[in-house]
Amino acid sequence: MRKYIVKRLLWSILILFFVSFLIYLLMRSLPSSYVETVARERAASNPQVSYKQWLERLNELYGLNVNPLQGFFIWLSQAIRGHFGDSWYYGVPVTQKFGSVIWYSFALGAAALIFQVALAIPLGIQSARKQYSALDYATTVFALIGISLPGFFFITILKMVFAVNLGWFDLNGIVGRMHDSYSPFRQFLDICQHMVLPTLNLVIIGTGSLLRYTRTNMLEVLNSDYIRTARAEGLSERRVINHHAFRNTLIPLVTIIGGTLPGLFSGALITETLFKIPGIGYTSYEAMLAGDIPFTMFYLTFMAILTLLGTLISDVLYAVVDPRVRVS
Amino acid sequence: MKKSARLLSFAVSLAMTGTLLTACSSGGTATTTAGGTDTTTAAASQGEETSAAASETAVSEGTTAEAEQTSRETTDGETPLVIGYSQFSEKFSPFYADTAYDQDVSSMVNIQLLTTDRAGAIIMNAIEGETTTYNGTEYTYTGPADFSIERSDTETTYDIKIRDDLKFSDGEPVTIDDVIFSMYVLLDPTYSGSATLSSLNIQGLQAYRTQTSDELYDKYAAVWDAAYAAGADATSGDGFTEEQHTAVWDGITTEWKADLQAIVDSVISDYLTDDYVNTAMPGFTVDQITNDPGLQVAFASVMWNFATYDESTGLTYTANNTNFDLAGGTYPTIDDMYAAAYEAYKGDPEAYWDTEAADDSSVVSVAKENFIVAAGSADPDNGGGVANISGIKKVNDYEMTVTTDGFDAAAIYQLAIQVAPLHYYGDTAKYDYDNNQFGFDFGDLSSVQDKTAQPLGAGAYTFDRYENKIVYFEANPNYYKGEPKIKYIQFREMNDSDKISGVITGTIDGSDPSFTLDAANEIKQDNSNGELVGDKITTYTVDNLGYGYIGANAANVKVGDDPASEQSKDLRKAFATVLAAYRDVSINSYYGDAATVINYPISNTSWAAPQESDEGYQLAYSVDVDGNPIYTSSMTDEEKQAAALQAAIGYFKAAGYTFDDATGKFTAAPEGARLEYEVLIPADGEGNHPSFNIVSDTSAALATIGINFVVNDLSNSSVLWDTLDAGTQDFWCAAWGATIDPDMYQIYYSSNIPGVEGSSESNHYHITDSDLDSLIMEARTSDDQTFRKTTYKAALDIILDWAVEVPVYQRLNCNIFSTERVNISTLTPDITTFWGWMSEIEKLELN
Repeated sequence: MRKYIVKRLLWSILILFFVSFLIYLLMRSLPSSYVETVARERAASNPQVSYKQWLERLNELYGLNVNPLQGFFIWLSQAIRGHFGDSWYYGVPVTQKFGSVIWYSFALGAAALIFQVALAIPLGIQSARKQYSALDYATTVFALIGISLPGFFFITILKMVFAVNLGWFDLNGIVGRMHDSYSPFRQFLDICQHMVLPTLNLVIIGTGSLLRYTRTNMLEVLNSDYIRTARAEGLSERRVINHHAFRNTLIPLVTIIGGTLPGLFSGALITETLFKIPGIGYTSYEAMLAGDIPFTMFYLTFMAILTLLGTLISDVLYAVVDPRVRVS
Repeated sequence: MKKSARLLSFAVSLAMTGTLLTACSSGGTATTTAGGTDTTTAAASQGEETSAAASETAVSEGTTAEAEQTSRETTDGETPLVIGYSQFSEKFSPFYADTAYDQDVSSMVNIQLLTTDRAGAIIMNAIEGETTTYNGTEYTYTGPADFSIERSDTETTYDIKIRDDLKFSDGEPVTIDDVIFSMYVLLDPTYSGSATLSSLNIQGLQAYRTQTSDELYDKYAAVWDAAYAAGADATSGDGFTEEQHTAVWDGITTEWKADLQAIVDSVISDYLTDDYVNTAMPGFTVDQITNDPGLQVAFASVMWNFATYDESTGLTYTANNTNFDLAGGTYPTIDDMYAAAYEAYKGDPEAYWDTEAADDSSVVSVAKENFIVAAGSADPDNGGGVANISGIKKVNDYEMTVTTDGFDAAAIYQLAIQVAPLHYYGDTAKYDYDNNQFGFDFGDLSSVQDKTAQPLGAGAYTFDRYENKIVYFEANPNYYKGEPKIKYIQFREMNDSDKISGVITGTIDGSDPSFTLDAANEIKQDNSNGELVGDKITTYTVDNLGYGYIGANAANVKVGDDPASEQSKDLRKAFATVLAAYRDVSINSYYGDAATVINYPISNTSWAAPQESDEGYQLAYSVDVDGNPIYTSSMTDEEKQAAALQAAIGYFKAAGYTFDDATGKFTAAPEGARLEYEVLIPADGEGNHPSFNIVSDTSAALATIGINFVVNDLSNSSVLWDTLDAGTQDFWCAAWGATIDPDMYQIYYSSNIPGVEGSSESNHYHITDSDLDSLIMEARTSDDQTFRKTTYKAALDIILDWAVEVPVYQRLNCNIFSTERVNISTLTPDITTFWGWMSEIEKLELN
């Protein structure tokens, strides 16, 4: 097992190298770079200094006067020492910015995940048990709606209903206008209140796939011989489902949920952007739009690490919960 | 079914309990503390957040979030004003604020040295105050500093006197040392912000920035002169060493080659067409030359008469008979071109420059400047370098002077800097004016950069923090115009699409949504009277500082060789006349009330913009080739467009195009002109641009008379800018941002064509008109506004006569405020482009 993990880790490092190289190349090849945009804006808003003069000056300041290959290795040599540089767009060290925004994303992702699991698993089991029942059809339809319709659509609906018509929530943001005058506990509640609509949106769009997955697995298990045997032994239906069927359904579910855990740090780009939640998704979106190479490199490399970690965790968990995998 | 129903209800209740209880939780008893209490950082308390999320169910009291609304009114009477803003970049320092939104934050916190009125005119005696009239109302303007200008033939001195009772928000007094410190930061060679004080011709500035003193300058100028006079072949002589001689002549060679490269670039930019290629280098194509630098040198050499080309013998440089077998793949380099030029002018760069140079900057003078700066800064006598900027002088604690060479009417606006506290951004221990210490080490602005996200100044508000996408301000009790009435203000980030509904729902109290047709309709629907100003929202509209236009490149859209000939102008007028006819319909459908069509290429916000009541004012491109008006007042839009097309036929004929009366189409173009031209429009590839209908309708209209006007809708606007830089465009659609002064030098002066050395690169029209040049220079060196306005009108007429620009639209921006929550009568009246809603923010009150 250890050998397997070490081998996987080494592969991951190699993949990471090429991924970060590709990202850097792409960032450098963007049709309009950060410095070009800034130079263009500055030259347009005040034509006393020409675009080319600005460009020359900024390229030098931002170290873009080397070719992409050199640039990448300069970045890499710094990055492996933990120096990710200052964000061009935000003007602060990349890691500082990351540290100040990541927990919003984590809280949002964790809350959404808890609700998703709490909704998807019981509903999935029920719809498998009562296949082709009204409940099954209803959950399938709602799950498919959640999967198919884009997040921004639900966000617009949620804002329209809960913020504009009912007036229960602010349209966006993470705190209300009186936040400063609240006690610390109420400030916390204020933040929770502002997290309701974003969480609800993530739950709506994320529950469907997990629900369908649970249902499919449950159906498969329910048709197994050992379930028939359990029933034949005269066990109560409740015991059959909870002790024999569900535990076996849990195996693929654990791997899937385990694999999504690192994703809690990746942020929800659209939801965060539309609700103006200062999480990593929104922050990186703004940085990418601006062509901020240091921040984007850090974030995308971080995402790559998370993805690699996610698959690794999935595989390891699979081996942990399923002895057959361990043996092979 | 019973069990499934139980499970379902369990799951649903689990989800709903969380959502609803948190929604209701804030309705609990309002625990009120004074506003501005320092909050716990949410980011740091993530652990609490998740663990407490589970315990949220315990908090079940409270009603609905309506209680939130109530709490806003009942806390401590200090309800904050919340303004919706777009994304901030967290560069709030007066030195580094880049975007308009960051600059607004900086303006809240800082005071600006120069005071301007609603029309953008300067208030010279701002301490005492001056009264000017706007829209028939008299307004008195006061500010932190008086300005006075003394002009001589050679220099201009700006005397700046600040009030002696100014204080920063931390209680420290504002003195002239803070102003001097601010200027030195902006003028430091490592300064990377967007302020352009360094473009001001301040005496001694260049020496300071290059750290080469006048004495050293003279010393190395003498060395250069001696080495240059000795000639390229000399190895020793009086007044220079062999090493210096080599440096001098190497520098000349470098500059000479750079000048030849500029010739190549300019030829490629202006003459790389099928016709010229077929004449100069038959057998080659435009594509081949575009893709090979060697062939570009060859083509430019032939076009510039340095070389001849014959298909059988290849390319031969006439001066030294060097031959290149182009067909065989041997191409000259810029070095070969240099060798030929060197031979032709017997190594005399001045003789070369007199005859050939691509631009105004002499090879010799540039090389000399470079040599002096390089040698001067390396000279051991340079020692501490140049200690100060001689043109910046402290008079006393509250007065200083800035002296510039010459006079430039727009220059004073460069002095509109914000006054930053030396004791905060710099180091008072490093400030000693008499000993040339200015608060930081030369070339090291780290102490200033460290404060970029946390500004401090003497403005109406103090910056508390930027957190959760909100900037928090608190009233500055030391503000010189009196402590603001509203104690707390928040600038809250909003999506543009949420700004109007944000004001309606109470999330924010005011904002600046993009003023589009849809936005205007949304506001009208929200107000019960169906107007822009009503019971819910009060809207203020102001002209945007800038305007939209369709440009024509005179170097490409011309007849024969001369872009200034009458025929060339007629060709461009043919297009401009048709384009102008479609403006009304297109702009109205895209913007509605949010934009107006303009008839001169200048923003309506400028005092120099011709007004309809002015003598000689006329609709752009509304006369035919004989000078007769083509429109009558009774014409419908369709009739006007038809009349414009007829006028265009007249112009095309005058330009030398062959018209076939039988088919009603043009069949041939005169030499140097084409039947097909392209217009570039950055409309996201989907026609999303105010001018898109104009160019597409024009294209359809011109197609009926045999002219192919190809609309190229670019999905990426950077393609447009790259093309403009290369100078290869025919027509294009874009918008200019303007500055407060209407100076036209950057955009229309002939030496500012892209590619020319020392150019501002902004004359994309490639307009080169000596009359226009002299008008621009006359206007920018005059301080008489009436004279300047008349001069600019004449200049605008020349631009329209060249038909290189079709002025299209003047867009409006808007500010909206909640009529219910903001006391509109306390908002500054007559908001203009130069007099924003924040101008008298200290007087603003909430209802």
